[in-house]
Amino acid sequence: MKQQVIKFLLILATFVNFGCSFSAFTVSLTEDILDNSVQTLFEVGDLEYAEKSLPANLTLLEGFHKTDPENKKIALLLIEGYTGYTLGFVEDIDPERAKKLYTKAIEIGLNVLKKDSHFKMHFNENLNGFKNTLQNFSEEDVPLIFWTANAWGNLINLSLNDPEIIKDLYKVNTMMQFVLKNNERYFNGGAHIYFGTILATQPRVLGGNPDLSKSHFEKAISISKNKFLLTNIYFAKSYAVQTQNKELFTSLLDNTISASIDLLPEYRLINAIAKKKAKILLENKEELFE
Amino acid sequence: MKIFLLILFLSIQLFAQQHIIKFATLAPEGSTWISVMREFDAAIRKESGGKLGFKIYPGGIAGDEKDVIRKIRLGQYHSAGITGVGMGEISPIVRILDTPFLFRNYSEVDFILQKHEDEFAKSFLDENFILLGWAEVGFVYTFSNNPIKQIKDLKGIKMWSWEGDPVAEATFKSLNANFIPLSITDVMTSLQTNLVDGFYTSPLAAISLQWFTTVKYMLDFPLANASGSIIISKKEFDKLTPDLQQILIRNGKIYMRKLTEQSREDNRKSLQSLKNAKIIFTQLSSDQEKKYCDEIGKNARKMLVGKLYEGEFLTRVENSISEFRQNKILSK
Repeated sequence: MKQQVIKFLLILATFVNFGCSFSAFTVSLTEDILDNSVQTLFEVGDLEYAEKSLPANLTLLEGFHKTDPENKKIALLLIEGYTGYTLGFVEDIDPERAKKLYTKAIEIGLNVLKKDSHFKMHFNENLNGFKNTLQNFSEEDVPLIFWTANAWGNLINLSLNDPEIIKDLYKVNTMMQFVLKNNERYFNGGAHIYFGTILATQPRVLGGNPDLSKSHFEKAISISKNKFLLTNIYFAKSYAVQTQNKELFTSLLDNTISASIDLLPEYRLINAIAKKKAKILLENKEELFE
Repeated sequence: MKIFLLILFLSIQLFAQQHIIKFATLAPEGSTWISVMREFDAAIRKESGGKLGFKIYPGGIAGDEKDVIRKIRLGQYHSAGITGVGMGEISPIVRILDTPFLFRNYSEVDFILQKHEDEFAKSFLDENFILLGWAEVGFVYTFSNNPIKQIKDLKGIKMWSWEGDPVAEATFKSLNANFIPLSITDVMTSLQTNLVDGFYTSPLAAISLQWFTTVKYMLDFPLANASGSIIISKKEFDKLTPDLQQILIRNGKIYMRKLTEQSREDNRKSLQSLKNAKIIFTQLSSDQEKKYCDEIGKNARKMLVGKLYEGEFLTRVENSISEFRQNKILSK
């Protein structure tokens, strides 16, 4: 009887294992299709269409991610998808929901990053200790590190009254420094946009540095050849507001509104989102300036 | 033509009746400070039927606290949320609230603010400012890379001291500490380069400014309570009709109380977050050390007599605290 039970368990284990690896195999076969479908969504310039179709795509990606949690490409697509969707369609109208979605993206990213023993070991350390977390990573890890940090930075920005969340800012800064060092051009100078924003929104007396902020934004603009319109949005709402430069604010947003979303065909969606945000910001101009 | 004139007349009337108070603070958009200020704004707009409101300039857009006070005096801004440093520019006597080891808990803070409110308010009024309400930064703790269990342990720490702040100077002299006066803008870099290895601030500020990431320990015995308030220039206040003044004053008290309570809650949460971040909390080794802190506080306050306030005022404030503690003991 005992032998029969063991035999049964062994057969079951074989099937379960085969089932798992077969599913993972299927996921890895479809990852290129998924990659293309996310890429296609980013190429869509129709905001309404993208807003409606993104959640269904994210659900599908979630399913693939659950089936094959080791698959870095699927995880990255999911983080990118959640962060892009939240930034474009949720953050401005429902910050509480946005926090939940960013948290989801961060968890997925950190789970993948924690597969690295160094990252896991030093994750809870202070500033100097945390710098060691990234020593095993290289340029090829920039996308995963950037998108995880991007979601995390956005979460902190929405949670400035929550010390438990803001305490991790140094981790985001360290991860973005890694991106800057290993591929500053990634996502049209995304790490430059991050530092440009953070250095502008803090008062000078508390560590802000408007001059350095400006040079980060200018660098990002030169990387994308002024084709990635989201840079203008952050430049306007952080640096231009903080320095009370109404002229710069207006010209950045006017240029965004009049620009074509086809400047960067692979980022039509983000450029369309930037144009939408530019209109909202311009409507609130009088509130933001003296 | 008549209709046009009527519309013009009504527009002028409407414009003339609307008062927008330009309010500046270092607190960033999204922080508790700004959330409560927006509620305050909504309340006065509603009660005044849209005649009174704030235009809020957060995140130091208008400059640091000293700049803001100067700009309010010039009429460029009208109102501000400020801490002890800014308040000291207007009313030096208020700095007594920031002196070391004066308060042991928030009940004592509330008691002193209430008991001496008229004197504090008058000191602002004498300088053409109206005090709209108190909104403290909270209890300030000492953070360091070496544990502090006795006051003499401070000798081994290179402690940052806010350059130009007479209260900080008197505090660290009285503590016989090894302190290095630096601008607040240089603290993070100085902590990273080990020019200093200790600082003092509220738990929330230690997290917001990320200074906590450079140290291992926090002495779980508050050094002082950092005060704060919102003020408005008398010139601007006098432009308001008496009913609008009342709306502003009444709501100022309500919302600044709310802000004080939320700020206390934020600091309580921050203490927990610091523990979560593996900051080790140390305790003073004996009750004698705590009594020693009382003496140090008294010495520091004496050093500031003639600079910030008169001896007679100091005696009255210290007597008020003793009286409050005595009554508390008796009521038990």
